[in-house]
Amino acid sequence: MELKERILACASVCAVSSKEQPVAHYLMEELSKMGVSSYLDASGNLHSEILGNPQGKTILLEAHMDQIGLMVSGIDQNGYLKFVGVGGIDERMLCGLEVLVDGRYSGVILPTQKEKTPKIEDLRMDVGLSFEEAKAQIPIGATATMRSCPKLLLGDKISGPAMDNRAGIAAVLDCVERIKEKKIPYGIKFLFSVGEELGLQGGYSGTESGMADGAIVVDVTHGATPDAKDEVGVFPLGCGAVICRGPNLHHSYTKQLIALAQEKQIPYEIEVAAGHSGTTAWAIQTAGTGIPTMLVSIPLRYMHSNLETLALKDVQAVSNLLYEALMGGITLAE
Amino acid sequence: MLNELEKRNGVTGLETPVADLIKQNLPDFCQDAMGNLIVKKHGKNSSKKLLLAVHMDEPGVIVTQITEEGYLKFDIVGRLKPELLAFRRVDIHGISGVIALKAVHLTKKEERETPIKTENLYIDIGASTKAEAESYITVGDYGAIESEPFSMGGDLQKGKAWGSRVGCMLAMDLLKEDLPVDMEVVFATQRELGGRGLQTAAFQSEADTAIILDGVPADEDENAPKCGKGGVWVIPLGGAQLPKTIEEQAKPLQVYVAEKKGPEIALIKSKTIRRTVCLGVPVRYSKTPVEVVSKQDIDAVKRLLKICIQEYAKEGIK
Repeated sequence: MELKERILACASVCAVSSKEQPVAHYLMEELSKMGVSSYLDASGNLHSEILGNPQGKTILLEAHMDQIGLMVSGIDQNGYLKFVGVGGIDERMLCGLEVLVDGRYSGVILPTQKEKTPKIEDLRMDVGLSFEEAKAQIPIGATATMRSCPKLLLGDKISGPAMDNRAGIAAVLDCVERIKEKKIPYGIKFLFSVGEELGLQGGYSGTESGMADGAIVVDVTHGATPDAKDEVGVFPLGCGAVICRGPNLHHSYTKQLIALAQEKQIPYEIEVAAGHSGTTAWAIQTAGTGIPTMLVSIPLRYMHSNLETLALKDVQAVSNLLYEALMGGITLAE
Repeated sequence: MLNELEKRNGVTGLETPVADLIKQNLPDFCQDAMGNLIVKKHGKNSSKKLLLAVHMDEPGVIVTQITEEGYLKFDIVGRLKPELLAFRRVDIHGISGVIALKAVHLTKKEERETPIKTENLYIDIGASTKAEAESYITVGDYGAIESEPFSMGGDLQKGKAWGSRVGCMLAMDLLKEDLPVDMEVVFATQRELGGRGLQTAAFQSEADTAIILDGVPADEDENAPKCGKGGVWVIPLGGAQLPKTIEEQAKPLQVYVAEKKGPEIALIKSKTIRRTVCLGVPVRYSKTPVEVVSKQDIDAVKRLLKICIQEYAKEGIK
C-alpha cells in the first residue's frame, strides 16, 4: 500500500484511548496480510511474532494506537450529551465541533460560549435525540471521535484527526512491508500500545523485563506554525525524522541513529528532552531491568486538535530510518 | 436539489457557483449589476404583483495577505464570529485550507484565556513559501467555510447556509408551478452585508408586496422558534401581526419577533413595495458553521409560502 493511503486508512479507524479494539483488529488484519501474526494481551496491547533473525538481538518497535477523544458522561433534559475529554484534547476546538458518538450518532458540540476557552463541563453535544431517545440509545461511557475526514493540502500535506499517532503506525507498517522479505540481522517485534494518551498505559502493561535488547518508539512532535516557529522544540514540516536526545533515550544508540540518517541522506532534525520525552519511551526505558530506547518522531502541526497536519515526506523519512536501522544500520552492544 | 445547492459555495461577493446552478434550472431570468437573478413570471391575475426574495450568499472569509512562509491572513465577510472559525477548514476555489492556532501544548495560560481575534488566525494551505502559495491563491480570493452535511437524529440535517439554500430551493420549486398572480422572484446577493442585492433588485420592482424567505435562529431560548415545530412568521420591529386566515391554514406555525434588523430594511428604497412579509425556516446554531435544520420544517415553510401567496391573490395581506 502507498504510504499516503496507509496514513489515511489508519487515521480513519475510530479508537479512542480505553476503546482501542477497532484499531487493534484493523492492525491484526493488516499485519496478517503481510504474513505477520499477532496477538492481544490482557490489556489490549497488540504484539507481533518475532520476525527476521530469532537468534539475533531483538529490537522492539513501538507505536501507540490510541487517539484522543471524548466520552459521554451524562444526558441533560434536552437530550444533549454531557462529556469529558479523553487524553489531552485541545479544548479550543470544541465549540461547533462535529462528532461521531459510539461510532453511530453524528452530531455537533453546541457552538455557544466561544468567547474564551470554554469549560468542558458547560459544553454539550447535540445528536438530534430527545431525552428519552438518548437515554435509551446512548450508553454513559460511550466514546466520541472528531467527525472529520482527513484532507490533502498542498505540498503532499495531510490534515485531519488522529494523525497522532496513526501516522506513526503507518510509518511502522510501511517499514514492515519493506523489511519482511529481507534478511535482517535482528529479531524484530512490534508493540502497538493502548492508552498512551492516558499516561503511557500500554508502555507499562505491554512491556516486560528482557523482552528486547533495544527499542525504537515512533510518535509525533510539534510542527512549526506562524505563531510558533522560532521556539525550541518546534520543527518545520518537511524537515524529516525528528530524533530525540536526552536522559530518557540511550545515548550511544541514538548517536548511531543520527549518523545513520546522515550516511543514508535521510532528512532529520534533533530534538531534546531534558527529562520525560512525553512518549512511551519513558515507560519502556525502565521496563523490568531496563530496555535501551530510541525515539523518532513525525513533526505535526496543531497537535491534539481535529486538524493535525503533517508532511508525507516526514513520515517517509521515519519509515526509511527505521528500515535502515533494522537492516543493520545500528549495532547493539554485547 | 437541496443537496446540490449545499455542495456549492457562495460567499458574499462571489455568489457565482450558487447562481450558476440556479440559472441552469430557470426558464428565463435576467442578472443585474449586483449579480441578483431576477425572474418575472405571469400569473392568473396580472393586476397584482408580488415579489419573493431569497438570498444566494453565505458568510465566509477573504484573503488579505500571503505571508513569507505561505500562510494566508484573512478577513471575515458577513456575519461570523472569529472564535467559530478556529479549527475549521476553508475551501478557496478548490484549495483546502485549515484555520488554526499553534498546538495547545505550546500555549501559555494567558494566551488560552484571551478571546480569539481574526488577526491571530491564519489559513494553512500546506504551502511552504509565499511563491508556492501565490501560484494557487491571489489576495482578495474568497474562502467558503467547509461544513460536511450529515443527518442527525430525527429528521435533522446538519450543514451550512440553510437559510439561503432552503430559500433558493423553495423559490426554484415555486417557479415550476402555475401562479395565481404575477410574481417577481429575486435570488439576491449580499444579504450578509445588509441586503445590498435585494436593495437594487427592489428598486426596479413594480410589486406592491414582498415576501422575504430566510433562516430564523431556533432553539436559542424558550421563546425562540424550535426545530420541528413548523415554519415561522417573522415580525420585524414595526411589522404586522399574523393574519388569522393564514394562521388557521398554515399549522404547524410559529411566530417570532425579530429584534435585530433583517433584510426587510433593504426594501425601504423600493418605489412601490408597501407591505413586507417575512417567513423563516427554523435554523439551530444559525450563523455558525454547523447549522441544523429539520426536513419537516422545510415542508411546512413550503406550504406557508403557498398559503401566503394565495392570501395575497385573494385579499392582499393585511
